[in-house]
Amino acid sequence: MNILEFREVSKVYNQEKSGIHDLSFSVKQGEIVALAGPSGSGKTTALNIAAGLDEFCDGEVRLLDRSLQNLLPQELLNLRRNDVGFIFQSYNLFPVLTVLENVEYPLALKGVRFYERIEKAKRCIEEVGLAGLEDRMPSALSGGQQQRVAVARALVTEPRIIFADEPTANLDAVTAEKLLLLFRELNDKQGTTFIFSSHDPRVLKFADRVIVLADGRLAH
Amino acid sequence: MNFYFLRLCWKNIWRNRRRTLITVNAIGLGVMALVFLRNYYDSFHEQVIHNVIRYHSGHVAVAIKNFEKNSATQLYIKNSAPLIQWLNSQKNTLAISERVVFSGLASSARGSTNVMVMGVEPASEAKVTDFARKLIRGSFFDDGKDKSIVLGVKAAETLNAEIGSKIVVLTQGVDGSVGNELFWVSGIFDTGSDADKSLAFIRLSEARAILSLPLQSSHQVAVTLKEEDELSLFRQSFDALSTKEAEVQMLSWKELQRPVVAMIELDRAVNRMLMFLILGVAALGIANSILMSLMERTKEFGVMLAIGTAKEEVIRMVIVETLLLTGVGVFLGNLFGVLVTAFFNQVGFDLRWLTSKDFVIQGAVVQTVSYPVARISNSLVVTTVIVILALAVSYFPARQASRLTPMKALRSH
Ligand SMILES: Nc1ncnc2c1ncn2[C@@H]1O[C@H](COP(=O)(O)OP(=O)(O)O)[C@@H](O)[C@H]1O
Ligand SMILES: [Mg+2]
Repeated sequence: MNILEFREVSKVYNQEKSGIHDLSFSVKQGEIVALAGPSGSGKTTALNIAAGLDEFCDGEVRLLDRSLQNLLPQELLNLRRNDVGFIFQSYNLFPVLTVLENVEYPLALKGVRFYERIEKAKRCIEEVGLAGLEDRMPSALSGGQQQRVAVARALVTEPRIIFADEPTANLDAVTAEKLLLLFRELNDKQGTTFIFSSHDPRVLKFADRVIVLADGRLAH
Repeated sequence: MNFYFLRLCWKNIWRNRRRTLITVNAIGLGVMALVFLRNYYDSFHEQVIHNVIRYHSGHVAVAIKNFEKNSATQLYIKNSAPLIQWLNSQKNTLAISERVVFSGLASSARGSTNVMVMGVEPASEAKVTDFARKLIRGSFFDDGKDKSIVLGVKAAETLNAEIGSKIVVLTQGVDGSVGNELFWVSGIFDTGSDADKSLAFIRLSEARAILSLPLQSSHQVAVTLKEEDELSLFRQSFDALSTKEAEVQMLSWKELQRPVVAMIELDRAVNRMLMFLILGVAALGIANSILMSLMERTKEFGVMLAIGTAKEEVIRMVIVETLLLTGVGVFLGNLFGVLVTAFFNQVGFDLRWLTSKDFVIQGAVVQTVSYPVARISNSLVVTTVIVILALAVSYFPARQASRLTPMKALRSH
């Protein structure tokens, strides 16, 4: 079953310059898929569109059996809140919140009560291998640790799909490898689908499948 | 919004500690100043009113019509007995003092001065006004002698008079004759006001004699009520009084002392203006502070939106941050406003620190020192106004927040 489907999707930024052209691909439930390609090839654009963060001009995007362009703002919000996780290249943790509080955030949004929230967040922090660092501030963590917190934050609502835009770009090779192994582990345990972008061949090998982009199209 | 987000907002306002402290200070100082000012003015005004009542008119004066426009001695109540009887029968009445009032020249061997002479029943007058309690020498007609006069300390100085000194009072009687009588100083009062140089008391019967007024006649009856709020009730029953002489009217202190009332009103208007000015500036400081912190966090708001925060929730957080910032300032401002009030309640706030002039308002004594009392109502008014203003100015950051989209916000740096 396809969890994500791009059907001839185009996104034009300026008149000439475009992010992606007639892009079609699909991702199955439970896959780990990598979007590869050089800088400027349209990876970020594709991921943002797939996660419902950005608009597109042409074609159709289906996420979790729903056509994104037909969704009401409230439905899109619920999708982001409940079914989708997002991990950013630069971690983007909330700097005023502790590790635990950062991971609590999506649960608090959903109105999950205090004890359940703490329990779930702690379990997630443990899963990403950061047990014991719950009360640290993000600034007191290494890049790899921060990205793990971001993973825990994306994971805590148990979304069916997690998008990660160049999650390893700011990490050294060893740490990057560990992060991908974590994706693999979570995928094995919980069946979470991962779609990540990267142009680093060393991390691409951890994907089940690699979709290569060039100039906003599928490369062959 | 649950506690989690409240805490997030709280942490966010302290991100730029210095900016927040500056804003909190501005709000706090403004609120403190206004809370103290309002408390101070309330006590000052009460003092003015109290003094007007206790040193001058009482709550109410019943007098002949047009007496306040034309205080000629010829306008008198010919037979005050029924009126006095009626006044005494009123349950609102605390005390009354029947008076004959005239202006005259007081002379001693050493000098002379113009005085307002009040002929009173000493015991009654002592219940209506405070002069009897402000004596620095002698007594308020306690010596039992006839032809006693009680003077203010300044007049006594001018006349070089002491207890037992002889004073001649000269005036014109109602029949045009010259009224001329010799008195002995029985008491000297010191109130700190105009009255000290311009007011003298003699016995009612002797005042009637000087002016050649008939027995049982007088110029006015000053009344002190049990509660000032009962003024309108008192007026109602007075207006309903059918037996009163047609030419008699009742004047409340507010009518007798229009300039005092006007002064208080003016003070209040200026205070209100000052309040909106100060709090308006503080509110702009709040808006500026929140707007700046919003701009610095654009990317963070993008992340919030991207991971499922609704735009309304973002706007709500911005408004809550505004209110928290305001709340801290308001709390500190009220705290210090009350503390400053309490401090001056103990040591007294003296207007002489600000001006060397004496304060005499409508001839009534106004002590320059007042002891302000912290009133919840004053704190509430100031707090309400600043909170409303803060909510109004939070419109600007909220509008800014409402324009955010996850993509726009994420791309910003
Ligand atoms: N906001 C934008 N405005 C204009 N052009 C953009 C914008 N974002 C991306 N692009 C263009 O779209 C193309 C794809 O960019 P992007 O999706 O960021 O690629 P990648 O993530 O693979 O580096 C590039 O040519 C880039 O210049
Ligand atoms: Mg990119």
